[in-house]
Amino acid sequence: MASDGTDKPAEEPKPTPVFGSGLVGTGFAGFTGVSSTSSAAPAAAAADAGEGDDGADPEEECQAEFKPLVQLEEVETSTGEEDEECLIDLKCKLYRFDSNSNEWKERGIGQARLLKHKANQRVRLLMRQEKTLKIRANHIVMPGTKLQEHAGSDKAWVWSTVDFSEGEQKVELFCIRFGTAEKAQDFKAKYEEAEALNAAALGGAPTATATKGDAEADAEADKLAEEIEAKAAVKEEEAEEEPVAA
Amino acid sequence: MERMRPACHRCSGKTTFVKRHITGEFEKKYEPTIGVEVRPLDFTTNRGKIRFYCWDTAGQEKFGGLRDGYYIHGQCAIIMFDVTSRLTYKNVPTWHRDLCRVCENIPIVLCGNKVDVKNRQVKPKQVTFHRKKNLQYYEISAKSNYNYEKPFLYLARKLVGDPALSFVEEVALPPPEVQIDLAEQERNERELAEAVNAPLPADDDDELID
Repeated sequence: MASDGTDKPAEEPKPTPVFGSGLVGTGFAGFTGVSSTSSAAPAAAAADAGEGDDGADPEEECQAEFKPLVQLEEVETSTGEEDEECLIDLKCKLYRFDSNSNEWKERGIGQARLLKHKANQRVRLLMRQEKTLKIRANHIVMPGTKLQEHAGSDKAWVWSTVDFSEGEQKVELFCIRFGTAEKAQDFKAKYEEAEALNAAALGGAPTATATKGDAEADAEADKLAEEIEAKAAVKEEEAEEEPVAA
Repeated sequence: MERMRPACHRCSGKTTFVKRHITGEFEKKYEPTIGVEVRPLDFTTNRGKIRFYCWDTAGQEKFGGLRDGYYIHGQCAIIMFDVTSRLTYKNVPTWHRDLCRVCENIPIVLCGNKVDVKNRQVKPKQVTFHRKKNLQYYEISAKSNYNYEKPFLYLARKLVGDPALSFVEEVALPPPEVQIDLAEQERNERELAEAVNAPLPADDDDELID
């Protein structure tokens, strides 16, 4: 198990005790002990990649041909954000609090936006995972929500909300972290602005502390869930059954 | 829609990788997968929604590998090894052989995971297996998200037959007006008081530079 550090002059690997022969057996137990920077990965990989014996890039696109399994037509895509004005757009890391294990778990890294609807003036928070563009948070900025500073960080805010990113309402505790304290402050200012806008736009109806008969609220949520399911089902059918253009 | 089979040596990070895509979390605790767990994994593309039914297989079978039943009807596959463990790379040919015995000519991606770790044992130039076997190779890190979208993007492109297929925004439906009852709100607030002081997973700020 000699180190191959010789082919990587710029970045001599530093063996750490956690990577003994025990790694194979302990898996992530060893892995968690390393504080490596994420940005080092692409750099290291790129440096190594260029040093193949024959100069070949190991990640070169494989030219193998396969018979396509499905025929899918190009579709008109929609972000759902077309009628909204973006108030702020910042890169962030989002976490959700897992109450089973009592710990913060990463929810995603990507752009967090506050989006104001042009017609009804409502502002929502939308956060998408970078690269895959999956939705990681999607909720109305509720008037009365307090962004609380996360202990030990001037770059992270914690709040409670009812999230809709999976297409159903789910109570979540979120923590959002930014690269700098300045960005965190910018976000907070815009978020509070959005709360004021929503207080007006929503006419004081739903706020974080508003109550409604449970039955009525449940019925509304069920109805909404059904509608969305129906929409989703239609979409999938469309995608799968669309005839192949000649 | 697609059935795919991540397979390989234990703790190379298959479950962590799949979970990373589904919930966003990076699970550090290692709990070996028993048998197989099927997880739907959706992507939105310029050709509509694609769902991979990921058969997340156990990797611990040291010698026997998986029974053929796990591979039947597999339409694409990811074989994952851990670049910090030579043994996991040495086992790649076995996994590949077993897979190909059942699934002929399906798109396969070989992934070297954990490239964020500094003292890796398997260097990129040592990874050659894929060349003669017509596999795509990617260096990935489920931890830092490096290249983490590439394996599924490659597979989606091959399965659809469009080399330019791309991931696009999942449509963000307007969130409904929210009603919370008071009791739930109080529970929230109590939990929030606790959460505010719970530490975040250790992370770098570098990745948050725009």
